[in-house]
Amino acid sequence: MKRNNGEEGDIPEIGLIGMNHKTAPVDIRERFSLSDEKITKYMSWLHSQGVKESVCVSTCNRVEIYFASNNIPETVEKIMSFLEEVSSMKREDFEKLLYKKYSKDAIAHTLVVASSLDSLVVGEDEILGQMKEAYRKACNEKRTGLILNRLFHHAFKTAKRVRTETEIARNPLSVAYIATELAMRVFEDISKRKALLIGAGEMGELILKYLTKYSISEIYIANRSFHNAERIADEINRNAHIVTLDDIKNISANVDIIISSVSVKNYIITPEIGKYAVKMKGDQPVFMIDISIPRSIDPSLNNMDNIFLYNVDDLQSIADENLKNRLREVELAKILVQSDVDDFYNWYEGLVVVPTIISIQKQFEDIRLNELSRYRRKRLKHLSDEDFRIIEDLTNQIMKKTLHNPIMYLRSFESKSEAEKKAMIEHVKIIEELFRKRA
Amino acid sequence: MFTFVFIVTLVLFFMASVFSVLTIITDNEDHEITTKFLFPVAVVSFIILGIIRIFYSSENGIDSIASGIWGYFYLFSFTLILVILYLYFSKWKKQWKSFMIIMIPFITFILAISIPFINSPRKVIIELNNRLLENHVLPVHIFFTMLGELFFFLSFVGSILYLLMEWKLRKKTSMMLIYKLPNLETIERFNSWSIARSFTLLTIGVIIGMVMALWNYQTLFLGTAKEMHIYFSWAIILAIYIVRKMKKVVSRKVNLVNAILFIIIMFLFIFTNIYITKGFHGYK
Repeated sequence: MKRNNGEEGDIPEIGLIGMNHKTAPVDIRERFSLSDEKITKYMSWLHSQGVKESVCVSTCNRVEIYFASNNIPETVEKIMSFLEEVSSMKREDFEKLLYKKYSKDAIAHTLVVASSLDSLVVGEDEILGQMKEAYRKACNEKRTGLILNRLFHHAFKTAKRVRTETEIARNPLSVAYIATELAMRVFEDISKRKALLIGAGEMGELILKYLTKYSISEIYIANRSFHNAERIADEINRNAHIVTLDDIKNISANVDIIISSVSVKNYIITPEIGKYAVKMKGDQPVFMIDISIPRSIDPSLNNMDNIFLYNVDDLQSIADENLKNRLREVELAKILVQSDVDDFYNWYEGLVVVPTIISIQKQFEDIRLNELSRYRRKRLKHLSDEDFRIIEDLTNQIMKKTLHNPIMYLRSFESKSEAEKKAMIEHVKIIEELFRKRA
Repeated sequence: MFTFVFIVTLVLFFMASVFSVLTIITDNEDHEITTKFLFPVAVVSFIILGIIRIFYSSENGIDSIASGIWGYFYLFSFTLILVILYLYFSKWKKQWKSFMIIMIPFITFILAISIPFINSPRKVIIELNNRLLENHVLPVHIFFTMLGELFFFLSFVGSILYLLMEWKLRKKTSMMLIYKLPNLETIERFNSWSIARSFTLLTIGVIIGMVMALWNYQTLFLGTAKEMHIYFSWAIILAIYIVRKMKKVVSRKVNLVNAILFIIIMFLFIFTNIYITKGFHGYK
């Protein structure tokens, strides 16, 4: 059996070394943070040291180096030296903050990270993008091969499965995003809607940014300070209309979404304004978000027909509920990930027979070509090129058909049970011995 | 044989109803898969039920479906199944899952209330010498009238969804259900779409009926219960249509009224058909 004898053609072992928000504090993590330049330089060096496959993921919450190597201890040593250099820390000071995983554990970790089950905010989609980007860079530098290519594609597929087959990412946790999502549950097409932002609070600005992402048709900004309103307009939408707080009543009759983040003593949107807005808009809903403390929209508006009013507490309680729902989904996601880990591991284990298959095929092919060449020179030299090509095809077909069953048997390795695999490994040894080249 | 298949069909529809509701109120993907499996199986069982009724049961013959009191419920459920299939292939396919949570339980309900009438010997009353029955336009009149009522049923489904969605949006606790239902404006668009079609088709049906009455009896109104029922339905649908067009009444109220009026009409339609024995599609 050929795995990890350090020979050319052996199947490399998968491993990873890393630290994340669970194992290391931010002041340590930032010392290991790797720029694109450093990653490129490091991967090139590691490659020159004989590590054929490596991918480096560096984000604010984790630094991880994935590798496939024929010599694990040597590779780990090289990575540790590199980390010492990057962080300017002594190995004994950071080694306990690292995790090192190999084989099935490394596979499971890769899939768990890509599926965002190991993230600070479980279910966030940023990590998948970051892993894709890290993998893309490694591919561009030609630092990946059969093992890591397959592993990362498998991880991306698992992440997609987790996102579509569980509700882990469906419920947003950001208050601003929840407000935008709620608006989209009222209105069919945000791009045909108009919004009014009252005040220049950070959260209000963020909600408006989200709405702009969905191409909201018109934006009005009402603020005490014209300068601040102009700044927001510059940041979000230069075509936004800047109005004064006195215009609110008239504007409210013209908009569908009102976001208030202004600090005032009395309610700025009163039931009178609410009634006026609803009356002027006919049978059209108005969506209001009050994120100011103290509240600036009269809460009694929530009881009015066609007005949907949400304040900070409403949005926060939805966020809390969403978080609970996400955590409930983690268990289901783990089951999905485990099944994908098993699939990958079966494939990976099946690779142990690949060198044997290649070796048998190569031996048969060598024999065939040698004999053909010998016959061509002597007994078949009277044949035309066309006739000889037919003989070549014939011998090729005979060889393929002869090897078909043994190769299919070897390839069935990954689908066998553990006990069958053990028995099969013995068979593979016998096959290797039978076809071993002898002097 | 018939009783056995009927029980199987009812149980399948009941299970499909439970799972269709669960697809919306829980996060389990399996419920949706189960519903998508159970509903076609229930439909196949339902079709087998009809075949057994026509060819193999003691109450056999096409008459047992076409004029028997149980057949009336069967045909009604059958038409609702066709509507579900139609929606699946229409522009409302995206919202199909949401419609199912009301439509499958409704079919189950219709099948359940048909239980006392499985062996009923009562047949639809056909007035002797009714010249309208010989009129070739009659099937066209029935077709348009039925379609009009079915689109009214769709507006009922939409109204229930609207009320459910609005209630969830005002409750402000979780977004779980909110995510799974169509947004309020889409539901409103669906409701306006259904009621507009319901009104147009029923109007065509009513006009054809009036012309037939005029042709055969030289009067526009014969004073029968079925005429009164259809005029009543038409007036209600017209009122809802106008109110929706004017956009002066808040959507919640319109949808509430729409749902209540549909239930009243359905109640009248089903129970007068069963209990009024003369002048309507009565059964003796």
